Amino acid sequence: MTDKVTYYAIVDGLSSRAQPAGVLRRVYFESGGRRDEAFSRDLVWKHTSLLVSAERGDLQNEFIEITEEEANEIVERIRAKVTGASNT
Amino acid sequence: MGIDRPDDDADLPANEPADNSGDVADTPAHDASQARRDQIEPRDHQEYYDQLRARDASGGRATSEGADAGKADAAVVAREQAPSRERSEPDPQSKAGEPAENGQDPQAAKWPDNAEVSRWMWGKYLEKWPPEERPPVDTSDDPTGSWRADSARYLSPADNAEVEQDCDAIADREEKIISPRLREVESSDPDRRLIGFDHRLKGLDRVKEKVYDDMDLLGRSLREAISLLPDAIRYTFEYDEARYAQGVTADIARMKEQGFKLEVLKNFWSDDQYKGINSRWIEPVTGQRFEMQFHTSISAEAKEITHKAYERLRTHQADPFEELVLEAFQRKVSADIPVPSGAADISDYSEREERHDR
Repeated sequence: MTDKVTYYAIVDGLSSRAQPAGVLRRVYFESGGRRDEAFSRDLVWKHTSLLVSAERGDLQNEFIEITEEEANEIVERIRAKVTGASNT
Repeated sequence: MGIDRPDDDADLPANEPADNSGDVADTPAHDASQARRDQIEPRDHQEYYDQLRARDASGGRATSEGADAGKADAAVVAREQAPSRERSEPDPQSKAGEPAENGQDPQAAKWPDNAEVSRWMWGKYLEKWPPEERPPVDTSDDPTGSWRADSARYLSPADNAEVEQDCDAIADREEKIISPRLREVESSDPDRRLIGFDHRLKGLDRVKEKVYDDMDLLGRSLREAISLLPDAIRYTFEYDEARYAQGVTADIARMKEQGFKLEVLKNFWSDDQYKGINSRWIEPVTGQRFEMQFHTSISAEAKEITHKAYERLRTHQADPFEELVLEAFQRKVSADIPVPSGAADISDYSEREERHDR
């Protein structure tokens, strides 16, 4: 059972806040603990340590908190790019 | 190439353990610290604190009984043999970052004790989650020349070979172009130094993890992923606390004078998992990125104490409870680090945002 989910846009050196490279969600569990997942190019959410690394000083990516709607937009953009079904 | 690139401490540019660095192993305090680290603590935490309190109450003499307790108290003895400034009592009226009447930040004065407790806590963690009980990564079905971190993260033989070839090129740029100029920066101020220089090249396994993540999670090509690595080359300047803020500011200016371009600087001194300032730079002619970390001796030691916890958190193998423990441990160690005066005033910087604002 999840208690709360926070979403982040992932911006790297080749992307921008307007066009993030990826999306990450931090899922907090009611029972305690949490799990970070990023939406992969396999079109599934995968466990990741990208945000943990950033909190530990890794400067490779910037993480910008976003809404669930904004996260869904990034997911759809990735899905369209991977499948070639662009709707833009 | 003649360049040391250890894989076992892949992300540890600062005060790496004494068995693989000459930077910190040559001081008596560090030797004592290593001796403490190597020892398995047999007492539970209540016994430990009771004995510490009893020792303090008796004016510094350990009161443990029996051979085991005597052996276990080597850590206490080592602390008693440390320089007296490390055991000076804090001034309760002093604020963090301000010197007590004896001239030392009270939180800095507590650090040796706090570090000792942190290492003891890590020993207890290892007892509960012994690394030797973790299942090994199964590579039995993988082709020769491939690389695998876990069940998901994998590079084909061709990709793996390309990463290694690119890392050789990075090492060449480090050796011929970047490090000589940073040594020049270092030589301009005798009051601080580059530490962990032998580990300026990130371990290959960690490079491959990052490349894989960039390709899988951000859709980057292998070549893009390599070029985006900010810390395949990484350095650390270590300062006295009293000169930290002034020293960092001066060294940033010196690095720019050497032709390096600052891309990102992030101040972590107010964070709870990690403290210090990290910065990302680029050498404009080659386009090679590298990282510079700015630490005090205490924040560098704290990073070393928590490094294995961070490594474990990155494996995706810890269950939620173990992750909670690991993060709590990192927070505890970080909370013990004194923040140098003026450090919080050093602003974050992002070249991207500067460009966007123009």
